[in-house]
Amino acid sequence: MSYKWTEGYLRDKNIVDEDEFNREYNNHKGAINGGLDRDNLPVDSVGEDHLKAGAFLAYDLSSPNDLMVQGLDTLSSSPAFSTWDDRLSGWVHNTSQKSTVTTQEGMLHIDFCCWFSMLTNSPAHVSLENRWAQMGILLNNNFIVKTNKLWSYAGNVNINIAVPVASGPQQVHIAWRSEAPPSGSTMSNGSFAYGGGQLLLINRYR
Amino acid sequence: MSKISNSNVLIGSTASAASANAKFSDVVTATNDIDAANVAYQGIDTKQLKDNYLIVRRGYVDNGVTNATAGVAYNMVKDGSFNSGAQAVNHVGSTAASTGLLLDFSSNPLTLKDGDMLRVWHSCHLYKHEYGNFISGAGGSYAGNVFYACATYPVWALTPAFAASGTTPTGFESFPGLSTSWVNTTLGSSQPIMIQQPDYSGSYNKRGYGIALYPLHGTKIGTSEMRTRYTGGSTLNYLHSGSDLTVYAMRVFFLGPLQYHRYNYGGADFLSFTASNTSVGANFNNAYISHGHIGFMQMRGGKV
Repeated sequence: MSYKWTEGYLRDKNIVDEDEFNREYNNHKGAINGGLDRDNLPVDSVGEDHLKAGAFLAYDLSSPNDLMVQGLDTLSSSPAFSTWDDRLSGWVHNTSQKSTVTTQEGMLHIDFCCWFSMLTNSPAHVSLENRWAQMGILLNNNFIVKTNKLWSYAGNVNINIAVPVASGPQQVHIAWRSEAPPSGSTMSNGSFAYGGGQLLLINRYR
Repeated sequence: MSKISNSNVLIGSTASAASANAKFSDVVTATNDIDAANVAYQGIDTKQLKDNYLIVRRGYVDNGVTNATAGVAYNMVKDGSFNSGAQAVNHVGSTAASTGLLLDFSSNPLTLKDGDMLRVWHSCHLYKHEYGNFISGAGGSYAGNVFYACATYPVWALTPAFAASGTTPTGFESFPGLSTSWVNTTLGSSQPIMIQQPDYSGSYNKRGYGIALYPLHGTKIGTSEMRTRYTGGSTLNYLHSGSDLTVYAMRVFFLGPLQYHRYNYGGADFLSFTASNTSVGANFNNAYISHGHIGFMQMRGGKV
């Protein structure tokens, strides 16, 4: 706790003792030189102009460009989906969809939103099947949240999660998977696509 | 810097009133310039803060769900009706005075400062559309073997002259980072309306964000009605940099039916959601949105 200010009283209105003066003066000096805190500062005393930029949060927002860039044969195919040749089964960790930030100790809020489209019934597929896809967010290569299985052929993914983090570098990225190919598929058949993805990281300090 | 740096009075030295005043004048100087050097580590508490700086402003529009059994009809962009364009999601619900999914800041514009984060989220419920034969039947195939979807997306007005009612996009534009023709309504005749990717001139693998997609499959009620009953939504984040920016309104627009595919126009390839220019698209008449909402949050106090 900082020094409590008291009204000084100089005996006989004169300074007669250097030590006494120095003691009183150094108390004031110590409080001002880095000792001010909630006990000294008045309520509602800190306004917008007093706050340093970035005093509370750190942001990291992926660029407005699309995040899914791997596996899309963008110019030669229509529609532009990843194919079974890009991924046949299991999770796809797209290294181009990575945000790396240095956090302070506190909470890391992660928000991801994108649209997706899935080829469950197209000329490329010979059978009609309900198929699913799934997406997730990884922090330092560990899953921290996954969607349910997405059964619709089009829609949006909105994922939010807040996790406690320590100080230091953190890596966040997106992963996805879809059901194995239906019977009759070929390696060049389209599978899954997502786009318009924004990955937002908000580090709220302790 | 406002620390006091003078030294103590030395033993045996003269401590006159004048020299004492001179020392305390340093205190006066320091207290006129209190900064981080004066305040203890973690020395400021919530009660010292005058305002809420994490969330500067927030708000929402909720149109209620009072018309959930009917919805409001929106014309689909069909083959041969390319100029229909996007439509503002307007008068959702049964409230006659509703202006739809509109955040109107005209009486108190939103000011974005350097480093501000603006988050906008919206959601709509697509009740039905009028192409019941989109699916041939239970377990059946999709008409045309092409997947169609509808889309809604937020836009903002940076001018006070915007259309607060009606369905026109007057005064509204896409968010920065997206091409100004995010919704391109200026293509030539017989060309589809598209939601195109930003910066398409340099790369073809970039697409717009903030778009909510609505699949058009559902329960077939009849040849002219498919009950989709689907709620879609999205979140758009915008990080402002530079000088102050004034926002007068935000609104949600609707477009459909769309296909996700590569489209070539004028020798350029677009990977985009493109309004139908096939005969299948002509079968989609109206889409019905029964309710929705839009909200926003302006955050400050952060750094990139």
